[in-house]
Amino acid sequence: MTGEEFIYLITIVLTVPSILLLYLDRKDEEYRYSTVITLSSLIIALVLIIYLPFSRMINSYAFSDNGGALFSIDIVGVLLSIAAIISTIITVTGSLNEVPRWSTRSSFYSLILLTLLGIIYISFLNNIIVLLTSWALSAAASYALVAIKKDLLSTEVSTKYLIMGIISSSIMIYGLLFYVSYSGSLYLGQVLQLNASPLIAVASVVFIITAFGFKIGSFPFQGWLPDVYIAGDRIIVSFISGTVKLIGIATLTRLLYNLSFVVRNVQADTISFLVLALVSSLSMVFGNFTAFSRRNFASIIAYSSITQAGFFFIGFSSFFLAQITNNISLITEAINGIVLQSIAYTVAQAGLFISMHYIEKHTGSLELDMLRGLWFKSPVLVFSISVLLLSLLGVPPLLGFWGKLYLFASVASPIGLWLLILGVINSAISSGYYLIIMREMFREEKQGYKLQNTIEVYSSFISALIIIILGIFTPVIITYVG
Amino acid sequence: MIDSLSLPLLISLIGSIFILVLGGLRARTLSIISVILLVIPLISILYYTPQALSGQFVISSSLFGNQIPYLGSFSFYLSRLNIPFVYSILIITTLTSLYSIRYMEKRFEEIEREGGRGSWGVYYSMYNLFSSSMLSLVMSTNYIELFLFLELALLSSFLLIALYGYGNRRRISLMYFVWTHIGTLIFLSGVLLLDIFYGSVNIITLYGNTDIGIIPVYDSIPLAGLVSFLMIFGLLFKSAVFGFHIWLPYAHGEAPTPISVLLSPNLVGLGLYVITLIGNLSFPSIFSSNAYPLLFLALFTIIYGGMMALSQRDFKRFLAYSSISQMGYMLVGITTGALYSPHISPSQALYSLPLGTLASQFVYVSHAIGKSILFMIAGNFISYSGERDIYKMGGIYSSSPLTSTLAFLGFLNLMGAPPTVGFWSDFLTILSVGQATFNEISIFIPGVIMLIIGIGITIGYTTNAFRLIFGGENKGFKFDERKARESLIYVAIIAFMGILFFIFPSTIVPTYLFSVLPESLGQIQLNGLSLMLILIPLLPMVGSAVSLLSSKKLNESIRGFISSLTIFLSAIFSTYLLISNESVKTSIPWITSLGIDFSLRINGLVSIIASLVSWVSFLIALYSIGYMKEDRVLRRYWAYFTFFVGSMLLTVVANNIALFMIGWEGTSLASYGLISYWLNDRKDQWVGIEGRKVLGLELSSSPTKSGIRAFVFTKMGDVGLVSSFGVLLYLQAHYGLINIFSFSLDSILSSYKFLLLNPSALIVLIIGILGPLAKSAQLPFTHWLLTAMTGPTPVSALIHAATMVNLGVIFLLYFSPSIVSYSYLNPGITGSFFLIVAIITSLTAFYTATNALANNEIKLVLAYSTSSQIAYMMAVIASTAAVSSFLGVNGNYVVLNAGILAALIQLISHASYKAALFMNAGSVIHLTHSRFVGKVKNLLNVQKALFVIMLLAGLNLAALPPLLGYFGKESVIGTISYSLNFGNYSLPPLILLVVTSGLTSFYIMRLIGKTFLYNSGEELHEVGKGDLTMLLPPLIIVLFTLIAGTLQLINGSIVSILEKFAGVNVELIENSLPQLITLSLALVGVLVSISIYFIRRVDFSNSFRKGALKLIDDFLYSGWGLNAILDYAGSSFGFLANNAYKVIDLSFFDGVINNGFPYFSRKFGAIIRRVQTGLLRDYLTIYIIGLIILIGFIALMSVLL
Repeated sequence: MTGEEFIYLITIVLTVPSILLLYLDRKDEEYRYSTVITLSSLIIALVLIIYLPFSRMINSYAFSDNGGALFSIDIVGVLLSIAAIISTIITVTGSLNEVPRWSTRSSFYSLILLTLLGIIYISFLNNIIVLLTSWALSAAASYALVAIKKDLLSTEVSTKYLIMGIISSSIMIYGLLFYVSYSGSLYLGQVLQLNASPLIAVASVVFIITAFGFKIGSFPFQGWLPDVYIAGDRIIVSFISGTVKLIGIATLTRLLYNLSFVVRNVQADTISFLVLALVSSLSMVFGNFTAFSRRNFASIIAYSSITQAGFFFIGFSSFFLAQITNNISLITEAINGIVLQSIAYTVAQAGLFISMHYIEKHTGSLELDMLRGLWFKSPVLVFSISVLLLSLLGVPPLLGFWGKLYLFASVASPIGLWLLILGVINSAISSGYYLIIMREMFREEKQGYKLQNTIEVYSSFISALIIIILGIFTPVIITYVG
Repeated sequence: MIDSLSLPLLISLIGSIFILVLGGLRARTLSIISVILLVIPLISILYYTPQALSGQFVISSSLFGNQIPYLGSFSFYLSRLNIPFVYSILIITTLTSLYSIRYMEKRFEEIEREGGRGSWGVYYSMYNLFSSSMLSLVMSTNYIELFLFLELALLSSFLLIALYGYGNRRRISLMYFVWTHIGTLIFLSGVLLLDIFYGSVNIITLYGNTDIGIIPVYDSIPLAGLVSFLMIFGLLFKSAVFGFHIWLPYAHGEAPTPISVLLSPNLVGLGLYVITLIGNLSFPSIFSSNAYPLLFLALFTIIYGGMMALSQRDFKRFLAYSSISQMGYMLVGITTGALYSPHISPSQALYSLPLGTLASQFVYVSHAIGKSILFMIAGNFISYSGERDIYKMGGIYSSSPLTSTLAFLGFLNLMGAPPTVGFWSDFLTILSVGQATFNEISIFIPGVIMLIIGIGITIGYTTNAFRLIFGGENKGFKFDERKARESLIYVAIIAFMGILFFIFPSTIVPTYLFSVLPESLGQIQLNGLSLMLILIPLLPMVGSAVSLLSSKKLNESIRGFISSLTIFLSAIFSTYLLISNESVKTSIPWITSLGIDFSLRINGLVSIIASLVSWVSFLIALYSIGYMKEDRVLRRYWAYFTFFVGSMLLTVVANNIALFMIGWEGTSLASYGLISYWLNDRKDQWVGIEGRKVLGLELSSSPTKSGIRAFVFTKMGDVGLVSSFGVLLYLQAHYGLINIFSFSLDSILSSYKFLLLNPSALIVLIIGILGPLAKSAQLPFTHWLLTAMTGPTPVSALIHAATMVNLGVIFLLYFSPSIVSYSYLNPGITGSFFLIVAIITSLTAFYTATNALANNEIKLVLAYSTSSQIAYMMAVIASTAAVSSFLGVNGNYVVLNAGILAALIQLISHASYKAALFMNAGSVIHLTHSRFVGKVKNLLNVQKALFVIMLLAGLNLAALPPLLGYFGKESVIGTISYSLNFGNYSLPPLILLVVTSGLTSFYIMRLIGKTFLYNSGEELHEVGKGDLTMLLPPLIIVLFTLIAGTLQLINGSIVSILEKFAGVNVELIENSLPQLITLSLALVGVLVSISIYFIRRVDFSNSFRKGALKLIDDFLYSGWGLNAILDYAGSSFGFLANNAYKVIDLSFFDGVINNGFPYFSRKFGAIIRRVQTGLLRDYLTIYIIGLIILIGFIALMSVLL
């Protein structure tokens, strides 16, 4: 199999079912097939992706042109895709009880598959045009997803999301424009023009992080995020806050990584580093303080994801830091960190929102007081939620720990030390709200409701297992992958 | 991959998670599973221990195959460096697991009453995770791996506190997590920097594919200073040293007790263990060149933690604060270790350690043992009587003797007193401070002073807590130790370990000391004489153990006779060795790796002292049998009594400073126990006059407080003495030929030579003499001896006549000849040192004699007189030594020898009359039931024999011929006046001593007169025959002095015998002018006193209550105000501690940081959250503004850069 064949294959695996699903919704018996189809296509996609590193395709290019290629089949793309697929699987399994009641149930899975396809393209992207098309694919699908329940609340939040998304898209065009005009090539990492002003490169960095910072919810582009996360349907949010965020993460990783090599100007590198570090610090601090003031599970997780976006930006800023300090190993650390944190973060978000959906269904509320005594109702669920929260907090040996470890390590240099310390302290302080959620669940019970272990609980449990197992074996994986 | 060292650890770790699934099983079953999981690693560790002890270090192969990129290899190791930690953790966690069942059963019931539910599965799962993470932590070979286990331990302990803790457990657990998490993450930042600069963060790693371990040294990487700073700074949070400590009292205080047992003794110290790794292995030269600030932080932590502990009411919080103080000790050891041996190579650090590092390991072990005992007992109180407030407890000693004894052993571990492993931690820590800081005298002086204060506070708060909890009257606190019998078994095992590790310290701390000279070459030298020598101190010790362990039902007289017998045998052996007149040395290999053997020596001088001590003690023991008859249970009494004698004899015959100090400290401990023997603090056992105030203070003291005072005073002095030994060790290695040192007494004595080469010698000598001065109750340490009169009277006799108080004299007898022999190197320093001592002691003689004039408590007058008479001995040695020193190389050692001989005569005569006086005083108190003079009518009429014995003993003290006391004083005065021939240095001491002799005869006759002839109280009706054991011993002694004095008068035989045995040959100067003045003053004193108090029987008590006379009376009564000032200082220190606690800990740390910061964060968060208005318009505004700001930022930066 060649790289091209892989791209065709994955496209087929995901698009065909997404179209097929729309025709399988006339009867409930028929509909059962659609969930099976969705899950199996996801699993096939996962197997395909996991197969990549063991094949000759790894570290190759697909659709090579003279001087460039559309896709770069590398380990970073593989791991980002794995993150996307796993978190999607968790969302889908977690939704199996609820979604069939929706009138738009088929379009839901269909859109999910399409979004996922866009994200996988982006994970491997090596060309600006591919980026634009994939972006259009996944972003459009995600806007539709938010509105899919067709109730007033969904429509309201999806409108906010959509409008801000459109603005971001235009900003993105600018960013890409600057990128291309600086490098002179539509292919990432390729430099054909040599005498452009470094300011153009810097402008490109700023516009790109504005556009995609919106997507991953970094301050001050986070406006839509708490609204959608808190008011949106939990199942949809489990997808939006998990998988969909990878659009931003993967793009920023690809673009900024390549930009950092393209810039070749210390001043521009320094400014870029500072801008990214600034966004990172602001996000961490804003997210932390606001999350601190919340007493609602969903709210806390919503605001904390702004902090998490800040942690990702530590890794992004490290690309430029590595150029300034001429220490390429920092980039490796950053890539390790981003990739591990991507898996840890998306899986945790998906699992957590599924759990929230389940809790809310039984208790009617996600206020912290309502979580009391959950441990005595459903130990499995509480165990899973605790693992996911601790992973977000970065407690070893969970996967989130390794992600943060490498992210922090990626700015461990004299220039980046302040960012490292700021990140570390923010991470420590975040225990102040993550642990409160955990603590409440273990408190003595007050409510009289009953819980059964349904598919949501297992979905959440699976996500916790993934976090634990991948966490324990990260040293092996890192050793193997290099 | 996984091998036999790492597999058990992994099983233990993973198994602990597995317990979660077994939640349905019975608690007992779960606890057994838990113990099995904890013991599994023990098996492999035991298997590898011999290899590790032999000096290799055992390392498992890397867990994930080869090196993980950027991180290095994760494996486990075992070496001499971590064995103390590994075993401490294993012992404590296993026993606590068993202890948990009963405790948590009760705790779960409570939680259920609050509406919650406990789960055994969760409990044991988290408990085991906590325990096995700690174990894995100390065996980790990689900083990231280590961080991983730090976090696991934190997480599991957090959950246990959050779920099953007390008080506001939710807030407290969070506080615990956040504080220490910040710390560990800062540590992690340092590790990450290291990672970037070096490419891996291994502590120890294997060389290639071989078995050879290598230790990467990171000293030379870029920014190594910053890296190590971040790592250590982060760990300071974990170790809770001052400034980083505020989470600890809450977490340790409110955790469920079994978890407190793990947190406090085990977990906190691990932060410091990691600092040891950083300082000794990874960054040796950076650490040692920057260790001074840490040293002072550590010393301050000792003081601060102690002050905070002093002001706690809650038992567990008290223990928590004491942990902070103990962590200070540990850090002192680590820093001094690094300071002493900056150039010890890291690989060497795995095999042999400097004194300080060794001390820190001992502190960890002793703290683990002591604190777990105390936490378990606190836990018993909580679960069986629901009480935590120290001030509401009291009087438990009589109802729960086992609990009290075990708790006392726990406290001893913290105090650093023998017979617990705490002694080693304390001894080595003080030594290392002296050793490591002496080359910077500006560090040495404040360092030693802070250590003296710190140890004083430590003794103070521990003994004070013991007093409040176990002593005093029961205030309605109900605790029945029979219910807690099971848990007491575990406590007893731990307490036993504490004693075991005292006797065999190298079983827990593989004490391989860096650059120490082994004392012997491991040969046992035993023959009849040396066996006798060993038995001299050992027999009373055995007697002590027998009294303590023998059944409660044993007849008390039999117990007394057994105890007396052991002392009697010691006396026989001492006398035999004296008569055989041989120098015997013996040395049994003991802690060979520390260069310390069980080595004793005896020669003429030593055997004179040993015989004196043992014979007088024996007579007092006999007397005690009668005196203590009314008490039902005397186990404690006899245990202390014989321990006291044994310790004293050990100091007398010890041939190295470790044994010397064990005995020396043992006497402090025994005196503490005996002075506060009446733990219930009944009013009639107090000293001081109720209601009589000087400077607004009532100068009275209860038995328990007196015991504390004695312990604190003497121990503070001892710190000075031991730190001066530390300096001598440093100098031995520094100036010696082979750069190693030795603990043997001979080496210590000969290293005064090096000291005198040093310009700072005087400071060290003076710091060193503090110990002897305190022990002998010389100025400014006189106070403790007076209040020590709260003990049973035989104890007073023992302390004064035979044991502890004489130690100052014994020190001078042993040490001054050596110092003088090197005085040619620096006559000025030695001479002025001895002159200072001579002046202090002769001033004491005068000072205490004046105080005795204004006192009406029988025993108090005698106590003053002891201080005064001991001062004669010290003064004569010191002033003759001063003269000999000033004469330098051409010195006439005859002068010093004469001084020594005079001191010996005075020592013997003082022992005899003071023993007799005290025993008689005891009989009087027994009869009159009052400690004051003249409280009963008719005393003379019914107790004529007593009066005669007392009068003879009194005249002996008054130094009238032909009694032995006369010769004692005459030779002291004669010798000093003889020394005037060589210079006028000792004129001031001479004048003071001569004047004092007049005062002495006056006050003693006054005492006897007032006791027997004054009648102010009730008629004495019933008088028993008087116990023969109470009358015979004083009679024997008085007859002895009479005969000996007469013999001496006839042919001078006593002096010549002493000359022969002591090996000194001098001519005592007779009939010099000062001697004549002394004799006449003594006569005048006796006659005036008799005429006032025997014949005219004037009662001054009313005329002294008015006007100027009252001022003088108060002045003398309060010890020239000194006693009042010291009392005042003591109480204001408590006040200071309380306020420091309120201002620093409660207001600042708690108010501003713990409460203020989260409050501020929530408020601030709520404010900035207002940007989330829900309006698209506002979001877009922020979005655009954000973009503009970023662009503006770029513009600004491109201008700036």
